[in-house]
Amino acid sequence: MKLPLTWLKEWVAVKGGADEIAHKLTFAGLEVEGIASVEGETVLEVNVTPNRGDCLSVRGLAREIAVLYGAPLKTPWKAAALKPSPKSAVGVTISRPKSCPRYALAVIDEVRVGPSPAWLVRRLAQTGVRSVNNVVDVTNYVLMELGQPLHAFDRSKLRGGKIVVRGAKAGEVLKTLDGIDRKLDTGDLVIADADGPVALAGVMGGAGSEVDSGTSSIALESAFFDPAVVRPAARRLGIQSESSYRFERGVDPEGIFQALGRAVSLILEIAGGKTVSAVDLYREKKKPSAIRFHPSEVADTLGGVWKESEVRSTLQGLGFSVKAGAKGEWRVTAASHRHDVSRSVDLVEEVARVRGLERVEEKFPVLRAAPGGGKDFSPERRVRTLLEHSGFWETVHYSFTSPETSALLGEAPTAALANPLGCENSVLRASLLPSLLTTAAYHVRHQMETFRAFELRTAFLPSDSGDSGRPEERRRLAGVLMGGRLLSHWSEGVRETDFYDLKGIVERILGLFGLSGAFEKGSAPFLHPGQQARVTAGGRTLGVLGELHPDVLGRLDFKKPVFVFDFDWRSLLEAERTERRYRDFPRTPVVERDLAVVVGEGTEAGALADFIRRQDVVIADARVFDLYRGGQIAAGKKSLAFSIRMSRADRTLTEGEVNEVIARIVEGLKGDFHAEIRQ
Amino acid sequence: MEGLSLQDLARKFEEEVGGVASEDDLVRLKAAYLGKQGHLTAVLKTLGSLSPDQRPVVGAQVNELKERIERTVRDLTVSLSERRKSEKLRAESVDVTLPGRSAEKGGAHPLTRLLDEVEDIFRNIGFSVHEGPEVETEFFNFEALNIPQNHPARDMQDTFYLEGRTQGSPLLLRTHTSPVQIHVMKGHKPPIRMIAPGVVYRRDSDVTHSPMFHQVEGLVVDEKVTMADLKGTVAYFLRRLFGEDLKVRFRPSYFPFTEPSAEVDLECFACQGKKTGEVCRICKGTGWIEMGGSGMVHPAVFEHVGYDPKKVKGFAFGMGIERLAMLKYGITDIRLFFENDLRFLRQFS
Repeated sequence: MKLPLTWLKEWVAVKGGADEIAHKLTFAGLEVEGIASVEGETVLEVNVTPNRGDCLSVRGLAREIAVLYGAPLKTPWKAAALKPSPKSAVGVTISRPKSCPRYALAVIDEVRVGPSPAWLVRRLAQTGVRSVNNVVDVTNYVLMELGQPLHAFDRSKLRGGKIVVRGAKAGEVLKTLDGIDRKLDTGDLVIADADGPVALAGVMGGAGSEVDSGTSSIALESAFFDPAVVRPAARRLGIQSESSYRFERGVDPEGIFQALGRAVSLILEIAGGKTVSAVDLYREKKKPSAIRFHPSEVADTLGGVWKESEVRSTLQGLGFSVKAGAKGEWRVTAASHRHDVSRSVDLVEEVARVRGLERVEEKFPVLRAAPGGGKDFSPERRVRTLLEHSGFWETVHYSFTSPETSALLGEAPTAALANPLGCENSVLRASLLPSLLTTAAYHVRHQMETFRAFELRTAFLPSDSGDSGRPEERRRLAGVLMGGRLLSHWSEGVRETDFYDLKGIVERILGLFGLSGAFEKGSAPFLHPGQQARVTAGGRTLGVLGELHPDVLGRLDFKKPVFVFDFDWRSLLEAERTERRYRDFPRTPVVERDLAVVVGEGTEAGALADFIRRQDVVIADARVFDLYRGGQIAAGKKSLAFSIRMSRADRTLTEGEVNEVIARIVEGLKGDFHAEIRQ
Repeated sequence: MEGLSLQDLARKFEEEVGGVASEDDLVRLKAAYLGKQGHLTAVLKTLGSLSPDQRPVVGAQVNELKERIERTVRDLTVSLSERRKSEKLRAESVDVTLPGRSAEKGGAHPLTRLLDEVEDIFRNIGFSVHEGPEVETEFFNFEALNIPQNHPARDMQDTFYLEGRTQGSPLLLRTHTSPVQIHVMKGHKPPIRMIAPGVVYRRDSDVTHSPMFHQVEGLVVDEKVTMADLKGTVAYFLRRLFGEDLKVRFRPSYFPFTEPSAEVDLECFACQGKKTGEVCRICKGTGWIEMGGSGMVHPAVFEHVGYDPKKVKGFAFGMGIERLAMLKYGITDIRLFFENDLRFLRQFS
């Protein structure tokens, strides 16, 4: 709302300058966002919150200033002599009184439509309104002055010489003042003549009944339209007019006829003519109900000490009536323009606002223990720290992405936005990997080929409960690594990342949860078929890891291998092994033997190690320490060397026992794996 | 050697000691004089053939020489071994400026870093941390927060809707973290003391607005909670984050889910309102920075979750994490947070 300072001062005599007034308004909840100079006049730009429709006028803001300064509000012109007439020259019928409880219409003949006087044009310009002609300008002037939207019809264009306030009929179309044909909805409220709609109530007039230079007789409307009817129509049609803006926030039902009178006298003054009739249909008077209020609520809500006399005078100063009730309670009735005041807490707010929040001191709440769960953030923090210390950068991507990015890994998006900002942000991501990979590709393009990043965030998966529309939100832990090796050191030269760097990271993550996890060959289509694994714990899949499939690499123009992991966070938390129990450990010496075996390329080391461990209870561990190909090893074969540790809790193993166990292992490996023993 | 006198032997020893370069040389030298076949041993063997009056005289001379040789060898042994050790240590020395053998460090995202800090501040004064869904229904995002259908307050937050629906109701991306309040209050009885950090979405995009951003919401509900407690709590938080001596002020405002409502301003930590020379870039010369919204929980919100507004009171506040981070780290474009450029991320590790 643009508030010209001199116009304001016509309504309330205060000495303060623009800065002081701006400060007062701001600290009473009406933030002044700027002070500008328009046409030589100081204009305050006031940000009026949606609850304060009553402040969308010069008078409304003057009323606030008057309260804040303790100065009287004065009406700068004589109350118009307009009297309601029993009969209207243009018949008015209200067929939906709930949507339009009050409707006033004045008919003026012999007006001379023409340009407005300079003072009117300037005032309108100061409030941001363009001059049209003297009649339309007066309606806008009164809107800015009193906050009551008015509409002038060319009486000669009202077919049948009557007006009906009714619901729109199915299929009806109205060409509005801006020249657009608007399809109406049966919920809309229209002003109609004998033939059809001539205005969309409270939103915009129709082009067919517009006041123009040929107009000599006008019908001037001032009404109360229900916000619940105006807003949906304005929203649906995408129209936000000065009128709809005010009707949506509620105009003062008691000010309807006064505003009409003000407009009529201004029109007679500027455009001439004579008043033929002025009806005021107001059958069901809207009366604000009394609020039961105990003055102690002010201190209960704001803290500190508040005198009853201070509370009473504040409310009365706002034009509210305060009457004594039973048990120290009051009955407070708000002013008719204050639709936002309906509960006792609204009265507390008025006191806080007018008296100033600086009166409220800074204290700490007295705490009672408040058990109630809440989230344990430590696993997230631990995994982030681990990855940070492993060279990974945490990233944050939008939850929405483009359909193309979303399809990078060949997966369909789960949910689309109905009203996206653009197609690049139009679907919710079902996996974190496409955005991570897009960021990795960005870094390659910017000569940062060594890139390790992760994200711990929500992905939106297809719902697995019956609720088909709602995506399932799952936190995922995903990462990407590429370029130089994780632990590359100047002493070893530059080495490229490989699958085992990736697996090492995953093993460390699992280790945080007390898991070792089972790694088995995976089958994700976006990963290299020979370099990927699925990790399970207790039969449940926790996630996947692997090198990207060459097809996916190609899509993103990657020239070198890219490694990724993707884990389900909740599954990791649920698989976490938290129990810790002491077990006795042998203090007897441990015997260590090395065993190198030659097996086919397809034989997995994990299977051999598992087999060895199962051969005897004395075997504590079997660990691969060398993998060798070439040399004397035949093509298609590889040599794996295991270090086997053995011990008994009760005594030292004898040489003979150890040899017997090793012999058994050797026989088993020969039989089950066609292994040859390397001497 | 038979012919060598003790004097000659002593001189010869002195000469040969001068040529000792290693511990091995020393061992050999010691053997050459004191070993079974050694020169001095040979002289000792001849003592028996001397006359009784000469024997003690020569014997004493031999012993003296023997002791001298032994002492010299002992001293040399020590110094040679010291020299060997120091040479070995010198050879083993490394260039301490070469990088150690550890993984190159990465780092947390600046938003996470700030969220951690926010959580720690509140956890230290007894708040728990709660999360809620990012896809919400209109009930949780609006209606339960006293923003009914067709209320102009809906214009305050431009909303992303999903194409799907759930049980006939439209689905949307939450526009604030306030729905978490509703979820928590529906599941717990007072007292409640919580924060809800998380991601929120609004249809808006420019240098200071991102369609996705983060908020932290705070809620305290108990029998006797006042706006004074709200002021104290929020002021404590802001001072911990930005500076202990800064002033905090509250400006009346409007949010549908709180009443009275207030905007929170923090005294500018960069200029503290002192107008010297150039206009402060952080506060634009006003001396104050807008930090977020707050207020006393609206009774209608309590009614929606089944609390009796006559029996409990509460306060709530909300702040934008990106805004806090931009102020704290001097970042001017919100989009940097979501670009994930390493050259940006590295600055916060």
